[in-house]
Amino acid sequence: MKSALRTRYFVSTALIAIVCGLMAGGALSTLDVGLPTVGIPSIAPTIPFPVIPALIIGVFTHWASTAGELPWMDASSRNIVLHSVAIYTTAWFFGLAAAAISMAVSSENGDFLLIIRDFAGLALMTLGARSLGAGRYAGVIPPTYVLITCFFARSHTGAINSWAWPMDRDPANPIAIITILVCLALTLGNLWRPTSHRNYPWLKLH
Amino acid sequence: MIPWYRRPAWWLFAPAAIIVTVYISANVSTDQIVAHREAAIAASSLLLFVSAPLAGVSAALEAGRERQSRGLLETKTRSELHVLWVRIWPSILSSCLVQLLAIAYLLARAGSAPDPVSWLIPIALCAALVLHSLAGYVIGQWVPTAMAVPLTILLSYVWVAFTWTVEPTQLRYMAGPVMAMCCSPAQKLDSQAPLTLLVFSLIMAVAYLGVAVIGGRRGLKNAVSALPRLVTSLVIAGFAFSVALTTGNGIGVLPGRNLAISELQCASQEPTVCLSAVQIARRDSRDLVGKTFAVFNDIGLQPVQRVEPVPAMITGDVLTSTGTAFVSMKPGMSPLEVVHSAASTYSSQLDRFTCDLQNPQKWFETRYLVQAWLDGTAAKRLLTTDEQEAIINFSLTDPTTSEALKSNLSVLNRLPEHQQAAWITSASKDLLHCKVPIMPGGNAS
Repeated sequence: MKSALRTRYFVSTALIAIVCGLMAGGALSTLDVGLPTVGIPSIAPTIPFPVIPALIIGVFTHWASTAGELPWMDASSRNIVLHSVAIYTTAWFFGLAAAAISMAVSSENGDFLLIIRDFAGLALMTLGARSLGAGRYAGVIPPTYVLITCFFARSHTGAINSWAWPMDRDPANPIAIITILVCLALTLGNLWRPTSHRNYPWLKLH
Repeated sequence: MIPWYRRPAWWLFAPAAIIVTVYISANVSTDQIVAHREAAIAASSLLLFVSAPLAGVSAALEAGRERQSRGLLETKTRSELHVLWVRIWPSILSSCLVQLLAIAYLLARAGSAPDPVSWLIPIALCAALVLHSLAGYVIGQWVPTAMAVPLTILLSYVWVAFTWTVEPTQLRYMAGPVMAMCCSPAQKLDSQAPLTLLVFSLIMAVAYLGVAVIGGRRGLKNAVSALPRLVTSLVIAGFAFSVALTTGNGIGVLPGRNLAISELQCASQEPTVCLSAVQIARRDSRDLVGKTFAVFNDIGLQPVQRVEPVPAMITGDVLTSTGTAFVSMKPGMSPLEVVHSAASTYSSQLDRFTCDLQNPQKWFETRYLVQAWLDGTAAKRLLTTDEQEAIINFSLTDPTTSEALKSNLSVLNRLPEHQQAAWITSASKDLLHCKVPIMPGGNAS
């Protein structure tokens, strides 16, 4: 366990997670960041601020938790992938706890459910992509998805399309909930598969 | 030779091409580019949002693979420049193809056009993509791949999107997408805009090249040669900014330039109507514009001798005391739209008031009444019966006031023609002085 924590840069990961959590729950949690120049010109889309720390935590934690892995470890009987996911999830909880504390201290009228949704949705998207064989490039999926939602979030009536849930401040957005559930199922399914079947060489991008 | 199917640039080409196609279909209005090749090509600069991350990300992935493929005891047989070229040419080519696809699609949507293809814009955009590829490669050399890819996307987006709103304005042209604001049908792109992008991208690419040949962290082992290269790159980067600041000096916020009078096509009639080749590309409306103003000249409104396209960001009068009217015309406008646009010149002049409105609601209601009368009067002489009905509804779009305005309009139309013109002239004077005139029937509303 000690070795797993060391090879996965757990101290740095935990620190980044806490900083991102403090950012997400602090004074900026209610801020909508304008995205100039994309989408329909008359209505510029805005991105709720908690999405940005959720992306940072997702990218960094995924890199850190998988940096020490080698391709053969996917099929190792010691289930090294499970260790990485456990560390990833722990860091995610650290971030969430920091967000809760930050929100309580700053007495900001933010929506904690929204932070949970963004953190869980984007984190599980990485793990879900990994389960489908994206390997170490799984961390790219959430930023790419957010980038695409920036382009196409708004319909011509100005409303936010429901699939572009990172742009939507409604924590109960059904597509967000479906994404979380599907990615959770993929992740759990991958972890509990027989190790000999965990490798998906035909889906490997590297 | 690395096989093509192991090149991320080719794998990323298909999704990027799809995003570009969907983005143009969903978000780029054909009205903005129809019959105007230069506007269509310039509009493609907005698609740097897609092609630039493609260039950067694929180059960052290649840099990561290059780093990982090196053995501990490997000796160098090829120069860093050679390795770099072998690694990044697919990134440059693939992103340029995406950009050219965007240009081709926009040109197809623009349709046939009288203006020539402007080659400087695609060349400048491709130069920008070389810069993004090199930047991605350098990031990939220094940062682990899993973080280099999102970092490249982020930096690319920050550079391309957020420079649009910053000062000095030359920075906007160094990034590129601001060219998408070009151009109205009576404008052409200021050639300084793509030139600034081209010059900055090429010189800055050389600066990145200097950093890239250091060879990442591994190259730092030989710190004696790394330091001068780094310093040289910084000097070149400074030079790139200085040259671009000079090249882009004086372009302004918008990259379009109004066409000179000699570039307009004038019809020999009274009044003389001069429009650009793009404005008359789909339908030559100069005759109808001239007839519309002739109607108002005959009635006795402020005389118009010459009609020209309205300049962008006009600050002066749209109807000058020397008899020049500035009209807004797009290619392919229907006769109803042409008459409405020409007639609107008189009511647009009313918006040039400089005083405080005493009763804003009544002021605007009266302004729309004037507009409706102008439209109706011109339509009666120049358009079909159906179009006459339609143009009035076109003028009185606000359902809360349209009934009252229709009633006032019918009172005004029952007056003898010279009295109608007299009322419009005096009402226009009052409106320009922020007063609400007495209505044609004699009541105050």
